[in-house]
Parts: sequence; structure tokens; C-alpha cells
Amino acid sequence: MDHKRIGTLVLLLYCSITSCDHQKSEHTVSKIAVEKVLPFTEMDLEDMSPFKPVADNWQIVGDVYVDQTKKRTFVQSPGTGILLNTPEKGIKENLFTTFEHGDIELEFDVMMPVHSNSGVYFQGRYEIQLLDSWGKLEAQHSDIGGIYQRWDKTREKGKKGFDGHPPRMNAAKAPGLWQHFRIIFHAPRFDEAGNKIQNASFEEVWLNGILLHEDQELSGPTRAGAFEDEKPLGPLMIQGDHAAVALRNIKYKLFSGEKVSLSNIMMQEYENESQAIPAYEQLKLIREIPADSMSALMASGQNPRRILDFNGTLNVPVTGEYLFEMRVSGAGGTFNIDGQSIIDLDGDFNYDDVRYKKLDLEKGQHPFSLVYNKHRPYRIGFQLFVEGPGIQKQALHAPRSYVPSLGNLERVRLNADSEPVMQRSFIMHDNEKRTHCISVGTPKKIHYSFDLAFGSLLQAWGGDFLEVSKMWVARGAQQLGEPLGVPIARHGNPDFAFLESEKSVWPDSIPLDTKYRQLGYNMDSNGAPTFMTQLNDALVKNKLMPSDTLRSLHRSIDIASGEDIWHKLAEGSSIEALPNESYAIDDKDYFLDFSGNEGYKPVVRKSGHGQELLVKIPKGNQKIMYKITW
Amino acid sequence: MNNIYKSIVRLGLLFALVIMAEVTFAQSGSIQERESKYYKIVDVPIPEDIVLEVGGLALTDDDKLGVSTRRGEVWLIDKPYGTAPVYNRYAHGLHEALGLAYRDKGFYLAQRGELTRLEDSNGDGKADMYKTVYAWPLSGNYHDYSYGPKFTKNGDMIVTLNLGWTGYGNSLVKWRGWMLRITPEGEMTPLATGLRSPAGLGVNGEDAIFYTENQGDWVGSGRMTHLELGDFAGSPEGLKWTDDPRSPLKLKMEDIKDSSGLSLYEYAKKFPNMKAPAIWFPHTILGISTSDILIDDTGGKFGPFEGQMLVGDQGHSKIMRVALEKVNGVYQGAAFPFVEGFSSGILRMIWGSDHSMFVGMTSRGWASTGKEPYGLQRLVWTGKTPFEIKTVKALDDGFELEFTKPVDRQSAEDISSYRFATFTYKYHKAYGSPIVDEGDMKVHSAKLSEDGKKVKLMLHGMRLGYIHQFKAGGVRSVKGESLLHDTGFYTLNEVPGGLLRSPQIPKMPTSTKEVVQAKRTNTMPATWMDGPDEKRVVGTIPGLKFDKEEIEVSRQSKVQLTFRNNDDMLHNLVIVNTGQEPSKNADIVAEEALALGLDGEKLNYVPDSDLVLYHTGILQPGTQEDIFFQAPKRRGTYWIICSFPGHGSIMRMKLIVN
Repeated sequence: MDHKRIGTLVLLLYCSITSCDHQKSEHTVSKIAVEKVLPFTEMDLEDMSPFKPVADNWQIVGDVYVDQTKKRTFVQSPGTGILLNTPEKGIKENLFTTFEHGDIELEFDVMMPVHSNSGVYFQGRYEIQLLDSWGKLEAQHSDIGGIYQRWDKTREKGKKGFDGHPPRMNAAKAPGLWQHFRIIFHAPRFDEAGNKIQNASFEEVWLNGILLHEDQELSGPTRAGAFEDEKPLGPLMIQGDHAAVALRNIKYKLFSGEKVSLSNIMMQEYENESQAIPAYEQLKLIREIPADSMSALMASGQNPRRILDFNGTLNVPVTGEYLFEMRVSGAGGTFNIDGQSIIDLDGDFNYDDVRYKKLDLEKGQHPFSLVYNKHRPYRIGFQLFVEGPGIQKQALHAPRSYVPSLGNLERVRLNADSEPVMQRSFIMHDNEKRTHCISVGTPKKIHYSFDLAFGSLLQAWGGDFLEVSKMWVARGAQQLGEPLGVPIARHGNPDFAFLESEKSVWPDSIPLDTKYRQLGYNMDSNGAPTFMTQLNDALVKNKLMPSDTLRSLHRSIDIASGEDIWHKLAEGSSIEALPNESYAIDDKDYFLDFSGNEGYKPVVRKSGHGQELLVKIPKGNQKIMYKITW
Repeated sequence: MNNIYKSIVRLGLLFALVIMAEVTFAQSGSIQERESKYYKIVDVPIPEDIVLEVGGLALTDDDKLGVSTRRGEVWLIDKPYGTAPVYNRYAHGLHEALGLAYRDKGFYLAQRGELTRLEDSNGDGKADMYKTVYAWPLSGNYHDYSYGPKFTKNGDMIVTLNLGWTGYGNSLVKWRGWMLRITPEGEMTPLATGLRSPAGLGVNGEDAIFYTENQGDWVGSGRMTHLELGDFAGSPEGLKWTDDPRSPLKLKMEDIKDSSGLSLYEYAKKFPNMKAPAIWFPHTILGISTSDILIDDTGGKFGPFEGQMLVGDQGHSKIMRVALEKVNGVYQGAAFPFVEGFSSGILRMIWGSDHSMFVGMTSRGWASTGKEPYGLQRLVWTGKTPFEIKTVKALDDGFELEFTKPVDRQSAEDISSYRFATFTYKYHKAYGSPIVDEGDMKVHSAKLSEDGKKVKLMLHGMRLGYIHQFKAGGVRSVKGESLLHDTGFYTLNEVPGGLLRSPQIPKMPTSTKEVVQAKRTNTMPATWMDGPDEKRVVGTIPGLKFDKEEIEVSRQSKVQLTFRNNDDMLHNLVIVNTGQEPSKNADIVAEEALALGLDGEKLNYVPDSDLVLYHTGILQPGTQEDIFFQAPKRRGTYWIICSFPGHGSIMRMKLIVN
């Protein structure tokens, strides 16, 4: 079952020359650009026009940089695209958008200087906190991503603050790095008399790829909101009176609260075993019934092979552009509107084969038909979603029309609470299965994976350590270790190589003419490993240690080599040289601090994925040390 | 005439099996109780918070027991012989270590991707050096298990590498399906190939290397093969890599026909380095998934079997005994039941310093008749000598049986005390094999030696390359004891002198007609004019499970049930009658299936029992079968089981009749 899938996933082709050499074949993953969401409204940060007039603490700049030695301070350069707040005494106003919103989906990048503090207030009232919370083990409501507490000064001391909601974990990155938020907010609802009948809520709050809140209701405006009342609409407010903050890539979708609906549904059920949808005259009709929704579970009998044909009316609330999304689980299907084919999944498709279709629809009633061809007996499920102008993405299928496969629900997780914990496993990296990997978890909550077959640091992450269910439950058909946090992206190439010249292309696997040997690892008295590899006659030792206080990984490399060897420090869409021999990697996704390595000159050059940072290590016994921070 | 002759022969074979059952039940107590008079199974307690899924066992210089696990830990157990062993974690973080050896104050073990040496250089009881001795490629397929090492005399190590599974055994990267020799310095020599699922390894006193194999594609039954440099053991996938300059053989996959109709012994005659096994372990009789090999070098401290091999079985939680001999330079010999009833699936066995045997077990994802997910036990000889057939030696016209105790002359020289028959397995790409080419044998004479311990049997019908099933049910010791195990299987590759003198019995014509089983209806009854009332589909999922907990049908409805085997093992589907305790009925059917012995395979492992209502045949991986039946009249819960030996207690679901 699963092994077939693994077979196709595994694109590593190995050759073995002398002791053990791992050579990766070249492969390309073709990606066809498909619009999977309707476009957001992007805030034009050419000037301050998206905002109400405000004091000079707010401005538009071209670039920002955080000097780690200075608190609450940016170094900026002119240009456009970045919204910057640098409050000073007497000039520190909050910023309001010109638009007002009710339900909204909002995304933005934010950068916090050292120890800085700000916040984003939905409707000017409900705050998601922005703070430099880097390095804290436990996050409070007052940390980044927290829903700040409410405040009642009439309450007794110590109880004035209430109803704060801390994030599920501290997902903060270091000051000076871009952090990404994605938030779906729902405004409170009121009856005709203006009485609140439903609280405001955050449907989802994501920071740096980690879900921090889910369906969190808010009993009222949080502390320091611009308004004490609650309303259907209000402007977005960014706090400007506390400390410096920078934002960019602000985009949003405003939702009206209207929905697409289905009515007059008739469902016909046929017996069918063929993968292509046949003419219905050939099929046995089992039943024809009116239905109030569409669900794969309406296929009758146990593990049946059926066609379900739904016909009815699609009620479109407003004229505009709509995006439909459909998928089936080991089945076939089609979706038509006004007799036109919208989505064609006739055949045998899996849950990953998602189809999208964007089209303009007039307000009003449209006949539709959806065919679900459940030709496999023990696979079940289809989904149909729609998104429209001011209409949040919604399901048109019944909630249980797709149920994830009945896998084993047992979960096994590894923690590293009191001492370093190591675990070898396969690791997925860029859709490739790496087979000789070891993950190391530390009580400092800084973890990493090392690819022993490439001699490379593969990934690093903070938070919880490792999920091993896909290895330790039943046969462990995947044999995967999975990080319990979002790892920073690493290139996955060999970290060390012999280059003919500074212009030689960096190899994406161990070259055939390099004799590569894994030598294993030794542990120090604290249980921290040093990994050893041999490339030709060069002995390379790697040691990675978490920072004592902050989210950093210190890497020290000892090399004894008879010839010059190169080290690939990093790769990313862009690599910026910062003062003090530091670099911001991949558009300020993480920092690499190379200071203290006298005589070494890292070079930034173009690469297949943007830019890469290399350093030449001369022959002899050499030692370099650097720090990765995120 | 021919048919009558054939029936008689078949009857003879069946008769032999019936006798086997009778004798087994005639003695008092279960076989496990009787075995325990001589060999006792003792638990080694495991602390509750340790998941000791044993992958390897090794004893240290200071008599601590090292245990490597499938979760990648190595535990050092102090005082493992008592009731209060002390566990200390020596190493962790390894990748499914399925082996362990101790030498020069350190451990060696095979992880999925490498051979590793562990050392504790500062003496704090924890490994601080994890040295990669030699790393090999992996495909990422879970079935790429790696086993070992075992040491050869010169201090080299042997590891074996399992094939991947992609619907069939598949060598996805180099050296999968191979046996490798690796020096402590990390020099690797590919030694031999043709391996499929080589979980057990052993090196005997003559420095000969043996490995055990599990039934599967190309492998008709469990077996043990002696391998030397350049040998090919029969599973062709590893031949993919023989164009590598390091390969000691040049045979190619294309040289092997998918289905020749021959046995492995016959096919092996075509190629000089192709090896027929030294021992066959008939499937479901002597286990279903052969594992470790342990040679009795205790100097008699473990009973009367000095120099013999003890071979574990994962799926049947038991140990078999093998008495090998070397005839014309070729290893062959007899395999016997030895001790059953261990707590989980046996993967590893080693000797303790007190000459008891440590038995390390795991069954996660693989299942075993021992119900525990993992376990560690000891097998201790009580000092009493069981009455057993100790060895069997091939003669050119018979066999010489040696017993552990002097035998009663009258019973020993009575030719009716013995039954013999021959059979073999097919060598083909399909999964497993039926028992084929059965032949009758006749005991011509039986003569007891002067010391009263050896019987020389002159036989008709011996055949080279066949498994010789024998039973000495009538033989009594001088004290009147029956044999503890009166049955064994001798794999005859050679006879002394090279020329077989046993008179041949004319070969019966083989019938293509299969055994008809009335409760298995694969075509829709003609009377079902409107087709079935209800159609149901049941599949399997890896880990010995049906893909659903229950199915429902209406009473007396006409049901078409499709059984799909999606797993990588053989399975059937048996509907068991309900009753006061439906699960007890399922237990009985599972036990009866296990007791079918060699006939089981012919009968699809379905016993002829009133408790069986309907059933399918045994299904190969990736195949399906429809059966048609009328649902029972009586409403209630009926159990559905897979009655394949070893599966029946775990692989169950419910049929709800309403």
C-alpha cells in the first residue's frame, strides 16, 4: 500500500564506489502555476494614502535593518514598500486604515527591533500583540501573537487585566527578521436593535507557519483599543505610541458575511464500477431523492461502488469573480454550472489532485450538477469549495463528505526536556526522502537535523522536538521523523565540496569523484554530538550547540585537509551582508553571524535558488565558527 | 488403476498426519506443558516505561546483557538472570537496530543504513562514540531492514540486507538482497546474494555462514542456506547489481525464469553457485517467519543437543532444532520442533553465562502467536533429558536415527513404528508455494545398534532434493516413554558416496484436481436469478488487520463478499458460527487451523469444522476472491477471522447479522 507511494517519492538514486558514496540524481519538480485563491487586496505602500492622516512617527521606507546592540531602533533607507513607525517623544500616534472592516482575512510581514512593542487592533478594538518575544520559553498574552488582555480599572488590583489569550506556543523569530502573520477575524454580530448577539472572534491566527489560535471568541475590546464600544465595522489600527515596528506585504480580503447556497437538490444514485462515468442508461438507478446537502456518505451500502448525481440550484448572492475548488478521494467527479463544465475530474483521482476554476457569475440562481463517481469500494470522499467577491472560502459539501483516512491514531512524540535527545530516521526535505538523518533535540528547545550521508545541516527549528509516529507505530511504513515546529529552510546540498574554482557550480549531491565516508559521531560530557565525515583525505568535524538564552544555533567546524575545501554557509532568495560580518539569509528569514573568523572572506554569488554564501577553507588544520539565528 | 494407487498414497500421507495428531493428544498435558519439564521459559522482567522491542542481544565481558531495540536504544541489563534485573540505557537514537554483537569492549550493530560500533570511552555506562564502520545506501522503503552483525573466525562481520517491498520483494538500491562481509576497519566485500528477508544469521564452528529466509515471492517456505563467496540463494532481485566490479558473481536477473515448474534444488543444478537450502522449515509446521540461528556450544550444559542449531520463529513464537551434517561437502540435515509458547515474536537468541538461552522478542507490525508486543525471556534446561530423535544421518539407502535415550528394541525394530514421505516446493516468482510432488516411502527394515540408541532404517522412495518428512511415533524408550516430538523433516541434497541406492517407488501421476471445499463458493449459484441481495467488500491492511471492524448483512440475504488482500502476506477470510461466546468459536477455529499441519496449505488453512460457515481460499498479496453465501438465519454477531496459522488470534472482524 504505502510502499508504492514511497517508491515514487524516493528520487534518491545511490551509487556506491568505494566505501559508501551517496549520489543524488538530478530531478526537477515541475510546478504549474494555478490560482488557488482569489487575489487579496494589496495595500499599496508607495505612500501613506491607505491610512488616515497621522503624525510623522509613521513613514514609508525602502529597507530596514535592526542593529542588535540597540533597543527599539531601526536603521532605515529611503524607498517604498515598508511601513515604518519610529515614535519619539510627542510624536507617537496610532495608525488607522482608511477602510473599515467587519470580517477580514489579513496577512502581513512584521519586523520587531530589539525589545520593541506594538500591536494590530482589528476594528481598532481587538489586539493581536506584536512584541520582541524572541527566546522566551513560555509565551503570555502579552507576547507576539497573543490576544492582549482586556482591562477594567474598576476591578481590584491584580485583577484589572482579564480575558487575555496566550498563543499556543512562542513562535517568535529574532528581532530584525521578517515574521509572517495570517489572521482570519470575525466581527461581532448585532440584531436590528443593535444588541450584540455574537462575540467577535479570531477564526485562525498563524505566526511563522504555526497556528496560535483557533476559533477564539473575544468577550469585548482589549486594553488600549481606540474604542470602548463594539460595532459591525471599524478601521484596522496599528499601535504607534509604544515602540518602533515595521510592516510590509500587507494584504487583506474583506468579507460581507454573505454566502453561496444550494437549494432544490435532487440526488440520483446509480450502481457503477467503471472509472469513466458511463451513460446513465447503462446503469441501474438505485434511488432518486431530494436532499438538503451533498455528501459522499450518501452512497448507500457498505463500501459500495456508486455514482451520486446531484442536481439543483446554486444561489449566487452577488455578481463577480468566483473560484471553485474540487477534489475527490480515489474517485472521479464533475461539476457543472448552467450546463457548462466547470471542473472535470472524470477518471481516477486522489485527494492531492485538486482542481480549481475561476469564473464570473451573475447574481441570482444557476442550475448546477455535481457527479461523484465512487468507483473504488473502500475509498470515500469529495469536497467542493467556493470563494467569491467578499465571500470567504466556504464548503458546498456536507461537513463529513470527506473524512481523512482511517489511519492509526496512535501518536508517539519525542521530547528533549532534561538532556539532549538524538533520533535517526528518514526526513522529508523539499519532497525528497533523506535516509541517513539524525535529529538532535535539546532542552533549550532548539533542535536540528543533520544529514549524515551529505554531511549537512538539513534543518533547525524551535519549540517541541520530534514526532516519530510514522516510524514507531505498526510497521512504520514511512520511517519518518517529523519536526514539531516549523524549520528554517536549508539548502540540503552537501555542506562541503572541493571546487575547481570560485565559479564552479555547487554540487547538489556528493560528486562521483569525491570519496565520501560517514565516520559517525562522538558525544561530549553533556551528550552533545560532534559529527565526523571524510571527503577524500579531508576530515571534517561538525558540532552544533544551541544558544544558552536565545534561538540560535552555534556551529563549529574543524577541518584537517590536504587541499582547499569550500563550505556552503547558506542559500536563499537573497543574501544581504550586514555590518559585523553578519548576513541576513533568504530575505531576512534568518541571520548568519560569521564574525570572529579572521582571514576568511565569505562570498555571495548567484545560485539556482537565488543566492548562496560560500567560504573557502584553506588546506591545513582549520577551525571556523558561526551562528545561525532565527 | 492409477487413480486408486494415488488415493492409497494420499491416504497413507493423511494417515501419517492423523497419527501425528493422535499421539500428540494421547500424551498428558499440552505440548507446552510437556516441553516445560525439560526446558522452562522464564520471564526477564521489563520495567513498565521501557519499550524493549528486541532487535539484538549480546553479552558483555562483565556478564551484562546488551539489548538493542527497534526504537533505536541499547539497554545494558545487570543481573539479567534474577528477578530484579537493573536496566541502564547505554545508547539511543539509532535507526531500528536489528542485531547486536559485543567485542573489544564495545558493541557492533546494524542500523537501517549502516554498521555501527558503540563505545563507552569514559566508563560512565553510556556510549559516547557512535562510529560508522560502514554505511550502505537506502531507498527509503520501510522494508529495507538490515540485520547483524555476526563475527567470522578472523573477526570480520557479516550483515544481511532485506529487500524492499513494492508489491513484491524489490532491490531498490545497491546491495539490498545481499550478504556483506565487513572488516572492523570498514572494508566491505559483497559476499553473496539471492536473499529476500534474511532475519537470521549464524556462523558455525567450521566458520561456515548460514542465513535463514522467510517465505515470500521466490521462497516457497522458510529455510536455512549455507552461503559462500559468490553464492546465489534464489531470490533474483539482488542480481540487479552483479555488474558492479565488486560483485563476486555474474549471474543476471534475466537468467532466472519466473516459473520453470522446477524446485529450487533442480533449478540450482543449472548454475554452479546457485544454492539449494541446507534445511527447509515447512511453512506453518516449523514456523512461518524464521529468525535467529543459535549454535549450541554450551558443552552439554543445555541438554543433549551439543553442536546443533536452534532456530527461532517470529510469527509462531517458537524455537526449532536443527541437526546438520555435511555430506560430500554439502550441508544438510533434519529440523524438529523444539520449544513453543514464548510471549512474543522471537527475533534473537543468545547464550547467557549460565548456559540458559536469552530470547528477545518483538511483534509490532508483524504479529505473532505470543500476544505481547515485545518481550525478553530465558529458556532454561531443567537438567532432565527429553526423549527425542537427536540426529538423523543420511545413508545411501536410508537414514540412521539416533535417540537421546536407549530405545526399546521391539518398538525400534518394528517397521510400523515409522512413517516416511517426501515432498518439495516450487521455485517461482509467486508468493510462497503449495506442497508439490509428494511421494510415498516404505520402510524396508529397521535395525537397532548395540548401544540401543541408533536405528538404521532401510528405505524405499528416497529422493535427492526433496524434503523427507518422518515420524517415529511407535518408538518407545526402554522405560516406555513416547518421543516428546516424534516428527521431523530431513532436507536431502546428497547421500554418502554420491549414489542413491534407495529403490524408487514409481511416481504417481499428479492430479490437477484441487481439494473441493463445500463452504467456499466462488461462482454465483444459478438459483440466484436476481443476483445477490447484498455485496460486501473486505480488504486487508498491513499489520494483520482487516480494513474494517465489522460488516452488516440482513439475515438470510444472498451475499456476494469480495475479499481483497492488500497486504504483503498470505491471508484468507473465514466466517465462524456464532454461539454463546462467538469469540471462543473463533479461537477454536484458529487453533484447529494451526493443527492442520502440512495438509493446511491444501485446505487453505480452513479446518473441516461445523464452526466454519463460509470461507475464501488463501489469497496471494494483491489478489482478490468473491464468495457467495446465504447469510445465517440467526441474528447476532459472527466472527470473521484469517485462519492462516498465527494470524487467527489477531486478525479478526465481526459480521453482524440483523
